[in-house]
Amino acid sequence: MMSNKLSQDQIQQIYVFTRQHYVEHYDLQTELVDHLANGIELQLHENPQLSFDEALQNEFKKFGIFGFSDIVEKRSWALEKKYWRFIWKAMLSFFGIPKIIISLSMVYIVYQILLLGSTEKYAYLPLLVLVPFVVLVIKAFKNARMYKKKLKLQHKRWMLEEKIFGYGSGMVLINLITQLMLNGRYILFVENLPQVYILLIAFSVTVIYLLGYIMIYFLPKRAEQFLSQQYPEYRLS
Amino acid sequence: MKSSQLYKGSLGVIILKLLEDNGRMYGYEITQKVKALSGGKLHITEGALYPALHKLEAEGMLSVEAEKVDNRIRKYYKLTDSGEVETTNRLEELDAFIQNMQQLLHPKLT
Repeated sequence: MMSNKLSQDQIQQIYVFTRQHYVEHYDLQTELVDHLANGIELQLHENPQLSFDEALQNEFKKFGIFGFSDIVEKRSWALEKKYWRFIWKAMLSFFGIPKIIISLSMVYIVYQILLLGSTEKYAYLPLLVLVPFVVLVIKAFKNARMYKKKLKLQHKRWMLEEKIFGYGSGMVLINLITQLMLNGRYILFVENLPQVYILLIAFSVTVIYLLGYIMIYFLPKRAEQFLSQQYPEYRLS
Repeated sequence: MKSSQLYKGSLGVIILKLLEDNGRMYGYEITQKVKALSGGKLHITEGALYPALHKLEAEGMLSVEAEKVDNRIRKYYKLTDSGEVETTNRLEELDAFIQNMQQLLHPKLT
């Protein structure tokens, strides 16, 4: 057994070191800190003359000229994939046995609204279809505010949490929804659209409703649960 | 790891096999184990190991555990059920590959 165990202070120094080298998320910092610490301990054991800082630099060199950046980037891809897998799973559940009734009745309601809306008398009825979108966007902004507050308090960033509250990369859906709201009237207010198209639109709108619900309500609400599954260290820290 | 593309392609299998044999392991332990097992010939770089681990984990092949060890948190990886199946499959695939290559490169003239 080695005697040169690093102190709590030195461990904190390595945390600072990883942050200085652009590892922003606590989950990855923790893993790299343990790795570097193991390497440093081995070096100090083999060569007790070495200083802690020298050993740290030596260990960092082993990561190559790009340092940690490659690891950070690939970790982000991996979690992005995982995030979309969560969504896909939740989405599939809405096309499973009990929930399919909700999905189908949603398609039916949207279809009826759009159908009525294609007559002149009820031409503004399709605006109703946009209401859930507005609700989703408001909730998305609320989530973002809450997450910002939480970040201030906890000082630790978790990559998966960021994916959940950032809705994958770049708020794709929010953009999509806003675009739909802005341009929706061109799609929704076409007169004498064939019924098949109306049905198709009703179906797409429903899928987007569901996707929005999952991304904006379902996942953020269960973030804690997903995080402690993903990060056993979530509870230790 | 030696720079060869051949080794890079096998990193996933190496990790899976090590975890199958040793139960749970942490990153640094894996690099040391590979060094020891290969008599120092094979060296997995840190820059390759962690992306490979994270990828396998995101694919559901590995699960993680964390424990407090010597003032710090250590993250262990171990095979999930689907990871165990995958290990067997990939090892079989690799064995077949090696056999085929051997036949191709060293044909026995009878």
